[in-house]
Amino acid sequence: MSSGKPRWLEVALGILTGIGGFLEAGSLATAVQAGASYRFQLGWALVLGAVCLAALAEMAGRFAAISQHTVLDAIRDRFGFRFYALLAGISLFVIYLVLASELGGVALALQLATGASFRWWALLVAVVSWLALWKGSFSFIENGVGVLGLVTAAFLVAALVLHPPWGDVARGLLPSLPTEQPAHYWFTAVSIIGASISPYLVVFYSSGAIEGGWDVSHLGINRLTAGVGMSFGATVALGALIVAAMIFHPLDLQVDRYEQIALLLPEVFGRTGFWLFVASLAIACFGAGLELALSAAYTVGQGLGWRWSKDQAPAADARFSTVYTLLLPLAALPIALGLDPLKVTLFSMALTAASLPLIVLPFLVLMNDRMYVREYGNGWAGNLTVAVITLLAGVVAVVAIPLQLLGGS
Amino acid sequence: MSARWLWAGVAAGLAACGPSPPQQLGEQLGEQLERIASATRTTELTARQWGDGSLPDGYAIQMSRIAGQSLRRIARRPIWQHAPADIRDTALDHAAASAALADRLGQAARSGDRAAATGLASRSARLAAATRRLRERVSPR
Repeated sequence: MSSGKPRWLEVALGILTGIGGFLEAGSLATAVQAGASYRFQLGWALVLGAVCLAALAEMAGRFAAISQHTVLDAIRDRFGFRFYALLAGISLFVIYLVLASELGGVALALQLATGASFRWWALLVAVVSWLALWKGSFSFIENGVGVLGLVTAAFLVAALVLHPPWGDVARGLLPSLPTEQPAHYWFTAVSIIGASISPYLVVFYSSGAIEGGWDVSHLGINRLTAGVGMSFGATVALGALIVAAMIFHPLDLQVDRYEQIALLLPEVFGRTGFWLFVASLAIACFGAGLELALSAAYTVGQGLGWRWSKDQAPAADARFSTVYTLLLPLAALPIALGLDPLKVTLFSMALTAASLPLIVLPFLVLMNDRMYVREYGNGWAGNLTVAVITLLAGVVAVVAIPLQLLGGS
Repeated sequence: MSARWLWAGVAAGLAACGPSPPQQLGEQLGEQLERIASATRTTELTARQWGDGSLPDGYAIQMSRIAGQSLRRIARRPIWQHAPADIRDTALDHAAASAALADRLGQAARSGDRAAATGLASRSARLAAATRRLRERVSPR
């Protein structure tokens, strides 16, 4: 989203970032688990998540470009400090858990590469992430990691090489009821949606638009990058689901450890596939971890009226930098203590889905408030799509999480 | 008070709609057998891919350790005390045999003996298939 580049380069980078940045610990784990357990049947959850995410990202960019406010800044302005504080508290808790899962993903990639347990890597990963945030600019974080994340497209290539039955894949894109293990089916479905529509992306995207100096002239770029980037990104996640459906499902292999996912790509690419997976997991989770740590700092800084910008030196916005400095080691702690990264990931994704209505619905109110968005407000289709998907995901998550925790199937 | 009655009513309603206790036991045993079969399949896939050079030795060692630990954990679960004796004995035999195969894979990976991989993969495949058949007997789907 950085300014000062030719427009075509901004568009290309935005799209590449959307594709490369889509797959992270949550979307990878949930897509693979869905493919292994239910073959192509949960493809629809990915589509729903991607449509909603593209719509939300477009709205967040449009909101910032027109109103010159970030979403959180406007939520405090429009609904008052108490409401903002409640929202920020819930968001920070969810961000904390998701950040722990992303740091766990990088640590696990290092375990796969070296043989040393992920527990030993967790704090080091937190320190390297902090260094990248401390030293790197916003565009380095957004574009650099997003473009490197294109390595995750290996899943899409693998899916094409495996020649799946495309008719069955297409049927899976239409919602259907489970034939067995209903609690697990719905838990996996909401985890996929939660992994796709992370509310922190709305915070990150609108903050990025302000950091990049967006205005009305950026609306076209915004629409393109959100629509095309996120759609292709979701296709990569669909690739992971297809590969798991083709390799794990026929063997009845359940995915209960991240390490098992490393068996997918070698089936297609041999030894290179193993290293492609290690690189995909490390880069995708590292990028998402940086975005999450920054989003936490944006959440606190914008709500409390601090000076905030990733493009300023840390000394210039010391309180903003303090937030991610404290959060990163705290998030590494559960992983260093040996909490299973896959369990943390799946739980945090379902919790994200449960918290969606709380964060997305007030944002929809803002998107229809002429004081902020003037004549660029939402149409009825955008409002309806996002409201229905968000409410559905929230309600199903609230029902499915306790059932899954109680061991229901 | 009324909330407590309402909650008790909901709980009783849910219990009435759910499976009967023997069905529940069958489902729980079936789930554990599925986990045994899945861990065995993991060993099979790891052995096959490691045998053809697609995986580094270190990863095969990690996966064999994970599969072995997971199978031993399943075998220690209290649910087996409630299972019919013949099912329990067969299931625990399968878990032990599968854990032994995982250990053998770990040893082979440590010594770089890739020639052993094909045999380990095919034995794991046969064992996983047998465990699946037992699972269908316990709790047909």
